[in-house]
Amino acid sequence: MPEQEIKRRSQLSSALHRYMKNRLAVFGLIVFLFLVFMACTADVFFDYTGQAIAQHMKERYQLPSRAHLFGTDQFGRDLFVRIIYGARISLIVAFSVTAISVSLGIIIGAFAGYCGGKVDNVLMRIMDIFLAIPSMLLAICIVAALGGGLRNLIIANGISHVPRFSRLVRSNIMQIKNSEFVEAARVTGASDFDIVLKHILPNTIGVLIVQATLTMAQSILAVASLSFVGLGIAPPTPEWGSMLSTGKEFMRQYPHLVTYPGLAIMFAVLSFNLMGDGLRDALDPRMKN
Amino acid sequence: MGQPMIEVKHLKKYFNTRYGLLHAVDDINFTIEKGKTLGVVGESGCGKSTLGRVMIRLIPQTSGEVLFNGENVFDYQGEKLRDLHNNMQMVFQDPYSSLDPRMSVSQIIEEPLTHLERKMSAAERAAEVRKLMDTVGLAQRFVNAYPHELDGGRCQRIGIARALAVKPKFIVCDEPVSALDVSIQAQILNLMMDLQEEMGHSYMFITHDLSVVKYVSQDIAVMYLGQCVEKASTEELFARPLHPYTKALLAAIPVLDTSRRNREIEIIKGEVTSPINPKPGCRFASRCPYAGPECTGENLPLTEVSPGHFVACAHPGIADQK
Amino acid sequence: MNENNIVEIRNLSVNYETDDGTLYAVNDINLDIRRGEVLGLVGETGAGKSTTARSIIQLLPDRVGHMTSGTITFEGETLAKAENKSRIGTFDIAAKREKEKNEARMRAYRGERISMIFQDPMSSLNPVLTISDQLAEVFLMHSEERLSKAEIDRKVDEALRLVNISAERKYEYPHQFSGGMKQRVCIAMALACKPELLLADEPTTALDVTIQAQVLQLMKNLQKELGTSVLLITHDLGVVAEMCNRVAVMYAGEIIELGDADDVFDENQPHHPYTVGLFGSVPDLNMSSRRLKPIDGLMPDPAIKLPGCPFADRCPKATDRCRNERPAAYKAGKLQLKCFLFENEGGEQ
Repeated sequence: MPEQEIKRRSQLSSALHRYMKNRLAVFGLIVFLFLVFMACTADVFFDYTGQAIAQHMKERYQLPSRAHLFGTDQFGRDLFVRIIYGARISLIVAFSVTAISVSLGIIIGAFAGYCGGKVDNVLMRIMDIFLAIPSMLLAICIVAALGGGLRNLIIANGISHVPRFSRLVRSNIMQIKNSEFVEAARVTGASDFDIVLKHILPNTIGVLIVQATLTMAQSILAVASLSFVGLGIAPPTPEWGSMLSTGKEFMRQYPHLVTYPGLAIMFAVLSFNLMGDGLRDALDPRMKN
Repeated sequence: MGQPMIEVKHLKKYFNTRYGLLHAVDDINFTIEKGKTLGVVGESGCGKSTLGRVMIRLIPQTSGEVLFNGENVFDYQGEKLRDLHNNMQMVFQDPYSSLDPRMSVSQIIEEPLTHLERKMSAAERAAEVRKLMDTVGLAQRFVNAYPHELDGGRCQRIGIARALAVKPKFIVCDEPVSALDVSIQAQILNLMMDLQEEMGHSYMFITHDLSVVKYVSQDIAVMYLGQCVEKASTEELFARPLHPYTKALLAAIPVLDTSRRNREIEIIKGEVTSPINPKPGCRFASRCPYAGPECTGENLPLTEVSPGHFVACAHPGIADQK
Repeated sequence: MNENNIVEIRNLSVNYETDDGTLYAVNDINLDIRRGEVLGLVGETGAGKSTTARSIIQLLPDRVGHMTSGTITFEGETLAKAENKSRIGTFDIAAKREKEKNEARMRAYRGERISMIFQDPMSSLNPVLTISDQLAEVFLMHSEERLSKAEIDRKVDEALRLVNISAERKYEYPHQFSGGMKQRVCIAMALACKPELLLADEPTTALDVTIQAQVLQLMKNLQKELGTSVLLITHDLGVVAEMCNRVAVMYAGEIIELGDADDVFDENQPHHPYTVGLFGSVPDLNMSSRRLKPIDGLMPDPAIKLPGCPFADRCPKATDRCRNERPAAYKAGKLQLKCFLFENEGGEQ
């Protein structure tokens, strides 16, 4: 008596399948992968010091042409090359900030959610303090105290995103810890630690991934904004925000100086947001039907 | 014969709520013999699920004792406590929410072995999982499947396999078939009875369905709002129900007899009263057509009115006399 | 169209187009609901009972549920006809207008001429509105003249009285009511405008057995008083015995047995093998056999359209013909059975 073949699909692969059907999400993924590729292989195609940093005063303010795809800036540097190297910085920032905020967020949120009571109260009130300060202001304060530079920027942004993650993890844990399969796990002899590690966290990952992509988008914007006002990455390091900042003076005569960095920021942020939306839809099976 | 395997004495579980003390389980006493099944019947809110969870220490008790082979389970510490679930296991009601959606069938069944049978190697555990799947009638090809891919009946088999993995002596079954379709219910009930015959464990079978409990239990305890109102062997309870609530419960069950269509269904009036700060006396009194002042004065103890048949009622059997 | 029928379903097929493929929920069923009767629609999960009810009241899930064939008439009027294409093209204005017209008509009918109650009363009630507000909404939507506040109040009180809920409680919120009371409120809302047809989808499955008895008795009384025709969906054969005049047994999207309740429950009548299996699986208080006789196996996967009888895989009497050819509905004894075993008895229906 033939029984039907069951599709041996784990939740992960059915989620992937759903994701791939969402055209916008796939677009976001493509842009993201392109950026990563460019950032990683930039040195293969281009010369960092020669093209992105060194000044070529004879070639300044050139409009986009075959020689310089996006034209040149006020110091004669090829804008396209600078933007590619700028992607490197933006992505480094995005990943580092997310890594810091996710790991700290998980630890704090897990303790708060699982222990409850006083521990929860204390931790969440500390998080509230951070939430009460506008993240941009917080970043500025930290940078002002510790100085500029990539490392401090990442720390500042990382800290400002921790409360969001800890809340997410905490509420997820509180929801799951009362579910029947956690009760069942207790009856199989699992310790509290086992339960958090093997049952609760894997079920939280979905929500975390979505928030992570959004954090990546926000941190790119944050760094660009800080650099724009002069608090972020210092020139001559190519960074989209600072390129916008210096280029804005020449916006009228040479709009390409702001257009291309601006578009780069836009596409990077957009791709992360689209991926986040796509992941949220793909991971929540109740969205469909 | 010796002592019964499970003895519950004056078990109480109260919850502190904003509005007062919630008497979820109030002074319950019963015994379960080795290899037998006690059915615990009642409607929602009667405390039967809480009772099951307190007995296997998923929830802490308020007072009372649960003796397993003479030893009070609540006194277990350290190593003995860790091994409690080697002997006492549970099958849950909802086949889907009691299984971790991110774990495969084999991972779910293996989990108790990983934690409680520390002497087994990974290979031995995998072999045991396959054996268990056979025992509960799960095809081997599901070994890497996930709960959401399977139907309720198969998921419940996974739950049963998981409970059996450590060869427990006592299994609390919390409404194990209520969420299943009728024909699947029958399959699972038959499976559970076969397993009991083969392996000799005892069940505490919690359900609201009296017709199901008749099939699986030798003894039945009827609960209402945290109290046990009647306790007897299955045969005796169905032949001579003495408590008005038991009678009403039996009468309310729709029977497969179309001649009843034109008659009035016997109903109990009113709603269940609150289990918070209940007044002393019988908690069914406000809905009982035969209640009198003697019902609401003091708490009525469970008294043996005939050998093995216990009732907590001021007028047992009154429904038959009217 | 037969004058005695309030609803006639002919050749109804419904599909669900999901991301993982097409699910064949209902396959070519014919069913009549007679005026003033309680028709039981029995079957297990996935049989297609809810889908059938939702097709009548046109509440199939948006974009996903499609009537691929057949017609449904209500009081002689065609309520629903199968769509030719599963999606209406963006520029197909005529088809869109037709669809909007149908929807407008259904909106007028729902609540007033055809009502539905569901299994979980909590999901049917709005948690932030009082009971009184929710009942009032029904009256406001379906009355033609403007009603004064006093009149609405009166109607609300009357509706609550019909379901044995004291009028004092009308300003409370759903979460303050028990499950049984919530379901009674839903019944009050459904019957407020005295509809001709009530679709009840497992109305007592989520309730305790003693509360179920109360609600069923209430439904019996109201049905007699108002003369409403009822399609009662349930998987509980006991409920069917208590409530229904006629019964249709569904399996895997098809109606495999149909007849008067007395006959379906009569052991001496010939029955479809599935019905036999179903009755054998039910632990009944009056049956004394020690062991239940469940049906082996499971309902077939709705994603696969089987060429033959859907029960063939599990049927102890199946032949090769059963697996390859779909049986029609034959008359045998007093029942209509969709099984080749009865092909020669009374002929096709």
